[in-house]
Amino acid sequence: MRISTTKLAIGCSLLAVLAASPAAFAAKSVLEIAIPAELSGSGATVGVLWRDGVMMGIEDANAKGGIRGHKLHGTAYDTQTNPAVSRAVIQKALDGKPFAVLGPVYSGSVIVDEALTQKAGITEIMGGEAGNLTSQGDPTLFRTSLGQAQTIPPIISYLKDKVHAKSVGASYVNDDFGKAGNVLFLADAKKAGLNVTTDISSEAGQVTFQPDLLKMQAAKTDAVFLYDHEEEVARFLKGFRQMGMKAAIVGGSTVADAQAIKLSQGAADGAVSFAGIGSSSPIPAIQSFVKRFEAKYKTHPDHNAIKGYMAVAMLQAAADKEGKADAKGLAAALHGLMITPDKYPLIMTPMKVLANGDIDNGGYLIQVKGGKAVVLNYVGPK
Amino acid sequence: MNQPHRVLPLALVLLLVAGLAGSVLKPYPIYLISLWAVYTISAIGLNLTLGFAGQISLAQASFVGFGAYATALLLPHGVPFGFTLVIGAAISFILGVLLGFPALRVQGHYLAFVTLALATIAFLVFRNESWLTHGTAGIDKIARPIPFTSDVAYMWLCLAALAVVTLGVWWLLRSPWGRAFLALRENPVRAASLGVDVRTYTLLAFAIGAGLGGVSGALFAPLGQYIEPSEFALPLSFSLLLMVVVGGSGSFLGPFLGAMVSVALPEVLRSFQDYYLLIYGVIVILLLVFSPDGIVGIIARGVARLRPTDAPVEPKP
Amino acid sequence: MMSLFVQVLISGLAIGAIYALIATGFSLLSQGSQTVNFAQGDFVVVPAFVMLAANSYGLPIWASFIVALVVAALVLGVLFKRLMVDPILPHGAMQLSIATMALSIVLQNGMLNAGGAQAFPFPGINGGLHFGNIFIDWQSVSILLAAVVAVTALNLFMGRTRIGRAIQASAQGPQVARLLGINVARMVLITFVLNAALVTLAALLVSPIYLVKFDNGIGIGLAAFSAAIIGGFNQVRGAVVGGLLLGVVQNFAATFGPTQYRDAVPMLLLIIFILFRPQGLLGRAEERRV
Repeated sequence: MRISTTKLAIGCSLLAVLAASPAAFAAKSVLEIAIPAELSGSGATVGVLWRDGVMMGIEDANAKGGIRGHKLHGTAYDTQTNPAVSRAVIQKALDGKPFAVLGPVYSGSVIVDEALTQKAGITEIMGGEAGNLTSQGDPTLFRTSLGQAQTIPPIISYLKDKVHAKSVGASYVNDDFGKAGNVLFLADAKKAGLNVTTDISSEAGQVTFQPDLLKMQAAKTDAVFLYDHEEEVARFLKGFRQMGMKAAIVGGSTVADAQAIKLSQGAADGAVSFAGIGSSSPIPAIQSFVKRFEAKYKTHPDHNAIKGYMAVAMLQAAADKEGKADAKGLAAALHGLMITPDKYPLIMTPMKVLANGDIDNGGYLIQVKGGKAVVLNYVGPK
Repeated sequence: MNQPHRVLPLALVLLLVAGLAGSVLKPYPIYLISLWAVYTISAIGLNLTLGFAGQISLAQASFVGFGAYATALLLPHGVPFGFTLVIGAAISFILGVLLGFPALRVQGHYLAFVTLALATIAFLVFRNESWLTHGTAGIDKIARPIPFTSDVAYMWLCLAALAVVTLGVWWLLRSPWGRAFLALRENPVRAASLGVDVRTYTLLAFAIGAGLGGVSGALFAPLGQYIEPSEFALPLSFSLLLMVVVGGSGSFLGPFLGAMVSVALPEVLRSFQDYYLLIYGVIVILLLVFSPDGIVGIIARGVARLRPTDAPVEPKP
Repeated sequence: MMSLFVQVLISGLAIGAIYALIATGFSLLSQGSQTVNFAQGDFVVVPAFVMLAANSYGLPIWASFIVALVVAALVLGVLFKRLMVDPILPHGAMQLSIATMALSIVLQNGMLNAGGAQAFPFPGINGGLHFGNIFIDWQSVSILLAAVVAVTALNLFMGRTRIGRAIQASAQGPQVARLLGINVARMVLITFVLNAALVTLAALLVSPIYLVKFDNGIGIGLAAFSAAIIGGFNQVRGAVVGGLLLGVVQNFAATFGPTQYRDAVPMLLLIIFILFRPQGLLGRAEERRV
């Protein structure tokens, strides 16, 4: 069979065009999402849920066509809750030229990773809440929830204006999360004229809270500010109620968290916290997420799972703003972005990304009543 | 396999190969090779304590911590890296002597307990004295010494330090002191009857091991360019102990191989996903059941089988 | 002030009683195998998970306890001895101690993968008694009672029964014991099963206040190790006193000392103590092995 020169010419030029723009020809490439997380070690409690939340977000996003037609593929890396290991895994992740990095949660691991993702110009959306993380001026680092600088002032106002507390006793877990919260609390309380008479440091996983409780009882303060992990909150509160102490209980988001409520077996009743979006937020989309997550992973998702899930929506929105799925412009597109659930269902509640990488998606003043988190006041994104 | 003079060239070739391979690889393997060199230095130190003196130390992580904090805190004040390294090593060595001396007055597990106490207290000091150590927030942006700022150059620095440590320990084990160490490893009772002052040499092994922990820490801080207290808590001590035993405690090459397994672990067992640490634990137990002298023991027996005409290679000469 | 003192003392004794149980098992193990079991804390968490699992299938807590006793005796007693101690001990006690560190990794990650990373609630006794300013909770009372009963029973068993005396003879001098016709291997196995029973009891007592979580073993394991050392390491009675002392010292340190250093103060006190009584609390000066 003879091939006409015209046909040959057309064929050749077609081939040339295709070769010049492979994207137009091939099926759209898969976007690699690196998920460094605390999958073992003491941080596994939060890291595993974060990873599962991201993975569920990727699945849901892919079911709706992914990001600008590209499917997403998530790879989880175990940081072992150890910054040195975290540095290794982020290096490996970056060698694979990921579209974005989602994670980790613990401050030390975030700080180590952030230095490298910034250098590589890759967007990192993480689960950390410690106040100092976004004050470094890293243009590629983003939160997925309110930071401590946003959640602690409202609870101080509550202590001052609603509880009318004159004296406060503080109990905090002495790790990166608890210490950072404690430092902020002490500074803000001083500014607000609250008298913090007792400041008790506790260890993550300490065997007994009796000394802490007896010390708190002896201090006879009007209120107790509790900043600890869920299980320690529950243990503290159980002892607190048993001993018949009456001081008002306020604290960080963990104080009114579903896990703390469950573990405390009723002792959390009356506790008030200011918390970002969590598993008890009265938002239909969140509640349906909680149900689907429980069905899929057979465990209750805390705010870390929700944060991981929403991180995927942040990528979707940023890529749309950018107009293409390009890792380089992603961070710039995220700054100042307003993401709403009508366009991006995975965000579940409106989220505003601020200039320094903080976000604002609203928070709740919550009180535990009858084993349920009841909203006293909602503060929407400004 | 345990005779230092036989395997010294092997160790140095290993370093050179690692360096050359690292120079053409991506940042991730470069980081792993650097981390391997740093851990190996610490494990060589612990091997003196565990493998030669037979004492379990739970404080090697703290000694690494002293080295790391000394470097991270002194570098910004213009102290050259070489000095911070020596200072860190000296702090660890002196603490080793101060702690080991009373603990070794008695036999048994008291050194283990005293080192556990040191590990607990050192971690709390790193965490609580935030005016000095920056506490739980950690120390960020630790500068690497010029001209070793790039990943590859810093890897060569780590490997060079490991080479120096390797040569130093080789020399030590050949010296009269080293002969006493070797005698101590084989049989403390016989060593004592041969006139070796067992307590002094045990103390010396522990203190030198601690000092090498400090050296390793000095290299560790600028490698990751960030340190925080939890990195120098008990889990690191445990994993260093496992490195020594997996490689082969009391053997010259053991720490090199044990550290390699530990660093490469997540890569090798990647297909096991969430179960890789569990599998690692099982492998270590199986290794101790079937080859108490670790990987070195396996290799020694393999070599012996390949060369049946040679003089038999005993796992413990 | 007096009431605070009394409460700190009582809660310290309660937590110390739990340490005492675990440390006693720890000392039994080290008598039987000359080893430091670095997985002893995880040995407490395993039966706690077993009890929770049995409980979730509808068994009442006492029946779950019996299930856990059987499982612990088999897994942490017999299997641990047959699969790990017997093959590794001939290579050296140090090798075995390090192997228990690996076992700790296996158990913690096994429980993390099988049970999850969260803490789980555990049924206990709520409420307590108020005497003026002093409040004593039933859980502490029951811990103390159970520990006293268990330790007394163990002492009677060791001192008054033939098997108990045979165990002691085997621990003090295996060669002599063998000459006397004692089956030393079986006696060692019994000490392993006794340890399994003690950690299961400790799990039942501590879990209501400590909850059940995959990495809970780290803290209690180190406490048991410390208590055993204070008590003179190889002595069951010493471990009991060591455990109680550690619990009380910890509680006083945390209540009256700087809370940031709550874990350091007991350690410092114990080091000083060891320097003056290197043979432990109740021990007699041990002859140096070298």
